[in-house]
Amino acid sequence: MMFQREGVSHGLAVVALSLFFPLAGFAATPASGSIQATSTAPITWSGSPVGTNNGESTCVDGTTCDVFTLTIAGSPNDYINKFVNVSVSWAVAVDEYDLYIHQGSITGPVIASSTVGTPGTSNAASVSPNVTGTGVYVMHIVASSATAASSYQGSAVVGTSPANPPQATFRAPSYQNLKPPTGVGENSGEPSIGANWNTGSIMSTAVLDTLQLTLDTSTSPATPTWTVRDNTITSTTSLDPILYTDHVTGRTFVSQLAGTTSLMAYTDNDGITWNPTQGGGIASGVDHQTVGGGPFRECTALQAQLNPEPCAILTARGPITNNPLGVYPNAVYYASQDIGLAQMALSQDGGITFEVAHPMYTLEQCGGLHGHVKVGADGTVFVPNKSCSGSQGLVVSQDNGLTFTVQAVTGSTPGSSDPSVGVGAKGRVYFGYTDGSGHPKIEVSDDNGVSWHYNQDVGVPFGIQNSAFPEVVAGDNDRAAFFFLGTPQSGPATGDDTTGIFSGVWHGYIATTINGGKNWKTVDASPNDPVQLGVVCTFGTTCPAGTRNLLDFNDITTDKYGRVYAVYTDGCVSADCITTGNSSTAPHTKAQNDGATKQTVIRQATGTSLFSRYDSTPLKP
Amino acid sequence: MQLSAAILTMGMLAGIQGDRDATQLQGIRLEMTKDQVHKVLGQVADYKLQDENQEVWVFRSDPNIRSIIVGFAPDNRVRYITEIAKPDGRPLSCRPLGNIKNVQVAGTAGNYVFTHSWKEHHEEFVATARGTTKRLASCSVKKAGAGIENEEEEERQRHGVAK
Repeated sequence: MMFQREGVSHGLAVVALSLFFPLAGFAATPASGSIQATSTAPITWSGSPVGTNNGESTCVDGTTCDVFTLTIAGSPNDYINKFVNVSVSWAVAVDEYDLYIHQGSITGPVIASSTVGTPGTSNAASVSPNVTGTGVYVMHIVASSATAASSYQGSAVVGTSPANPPQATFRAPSYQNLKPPTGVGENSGEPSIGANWNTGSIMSTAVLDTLQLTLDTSTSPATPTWTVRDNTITSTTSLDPILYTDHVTGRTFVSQLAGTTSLMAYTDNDGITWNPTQGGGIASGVDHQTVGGGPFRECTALQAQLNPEPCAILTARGPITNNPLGVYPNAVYYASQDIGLAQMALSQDGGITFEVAHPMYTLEQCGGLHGHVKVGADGTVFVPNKSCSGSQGLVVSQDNGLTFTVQAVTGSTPGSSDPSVGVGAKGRVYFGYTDGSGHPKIEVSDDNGVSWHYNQDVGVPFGIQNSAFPEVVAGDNDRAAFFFLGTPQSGPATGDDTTGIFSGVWHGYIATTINGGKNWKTVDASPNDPVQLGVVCTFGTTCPAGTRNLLDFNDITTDKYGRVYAVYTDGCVSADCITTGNSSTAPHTKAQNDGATKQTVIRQATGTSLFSRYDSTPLKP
Repeated sequence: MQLSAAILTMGMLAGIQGDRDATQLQGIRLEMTKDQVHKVLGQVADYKLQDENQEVWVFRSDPNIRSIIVGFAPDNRVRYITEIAKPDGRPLSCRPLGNIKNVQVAGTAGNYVFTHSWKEHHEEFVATARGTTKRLASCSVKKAGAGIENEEEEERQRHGVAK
């Protein structure tokens, strides 16, 4: 890696700036403390960092963030059934101080964090020394939104139960299933979806068709209108369709594989007109491509002061400023794999041209096929993989796609579906996956995949034994939605039906968190209407006929109000199939399934959105 | 992009001039059966893993080559071969690239991609190497289009299931 991860740069910052300022100026008051398993009184400290930071990566210790070093004394066995609960609190609800707990030092992994968002007056997280060990832990308190008049109080106390991050009022979501009219979206395996935040359009692509969904919200429920927005460039062949919408600019890309190259077009008016692009960035042969994008990673002033070389690289890999078509503000990435090598190419001109791709990983490190690229608000690039040396993996780039690190998703096991990543506004990574047993799980990282926590099985409320096609989107740092297909039936649900005919009913489920992944609320988003009966084969082209109608993935996104939209392929559409699926006594094998490929969009109708700023104006159907 | 004089002098090109056996690497040929591959590689390398009908083998004692990745078509015949260099070994000489005059170069310093495609008996082949001006990190050869046979089959399935 050209760059060190965030924590390291912070550590360097402390070292470098301590040459100019007293180190005490970088810490809370007091700067450190110690706690024992038998302690009953809390350890307290205070501070008053000022500023507006979007996560740890941009803060400057001593100015916009504080450090408090806590030594947890004794041995891990002293803390059986005990927790060290850490909180920061402040007086004014529009202020916010985020809490990150690093193990060992400020450069160590983030083992817990709390970034609830405004309005609120506290953040809290816990350490379980019996699990993570005793010793030094560093509390990093980041001014997310604080003025010179603001200050916080910190506290660490031993308790018998972990601290619960404060939660906003959670209204359980409900969902509508919207189907295009007959004849539209009928051949729609592995759909992808994007939201144009400027126009409100929901764009989707599957196989050859690109659809625009608009909603008339003057009625309740809103009235959907579907418009076919095919373009000649990407509707003439299909070896892997993928759509990506840059919600900031409203530009939508559609990519299709075509022989040894890739076809791509973009639209700036929701599909009314299309423009061709170079297509990819991989010289010879491609397979299972993905397109995504987001902000360029930029050099901070502190990084420039410490080490100008990587800053020069970031600048060189930033937006092209002399583009005759105008400066495109965001990076666009194309990733694929061929000849045992996964690669990624950057576009600095809005997806019109791409550089020659850089290697991400080889088959030695991770399985060939990967999930879809996502980009965090600070420009960090993520590509998930279902199998990297014995666990799920996350491929990370912090230099705009030049170099890559493969992070193991600890606690996970390799699965059969491509995993998915959602990135919260301040960089929290939500990694949704189907584990080796088929269960739908999701983990959280606050340090770009170096460490993971809150590994949750979100299928438990419905007894889900098998799942497929995990898809994640995040909004605020603490809010995310996880869409997956699931069935409570155990057995070879994602096999090829040769070792036993699988009988089970699949529905679409969406799990939502508003406290950073600590707790999830799971909802059956397609009640009384099965998505599939029988097997959902994930063995690729070796799948027998009639088992692979859903192909490889679904997708999820959010509009600017934090309303969740998910898209899936409905394999069970006829009245007979639905009735059979709803019968508890009927067989539910592929013989009863329609094998259909009807595109369907799930729209969040009510409930808490992914952005807390809209909590006071609840979503309407 | 034209080859620059600097690139022409690279050490990696030393082995790709003159006669060559363009469709084999480390004794593995395109179109070999999986059994044949296992027999050849089993003598010098350890099988590490397989994914989507691609296999990774790690060489036991080769000082220069770390591993070889072999991709198979649905009929279990070799569709591509990629060898990966040891970072501290001798620079790779990617023989399938052939005559230097035919090699196309793309990319920038630190990330060059060298490509040569040719036809034999109505079939098209592509050799690809990656690396810097001083050292190649990998060398591959494949049948053009062979990498997408699965995809073409999938396309047929896609349209088939919709009927």
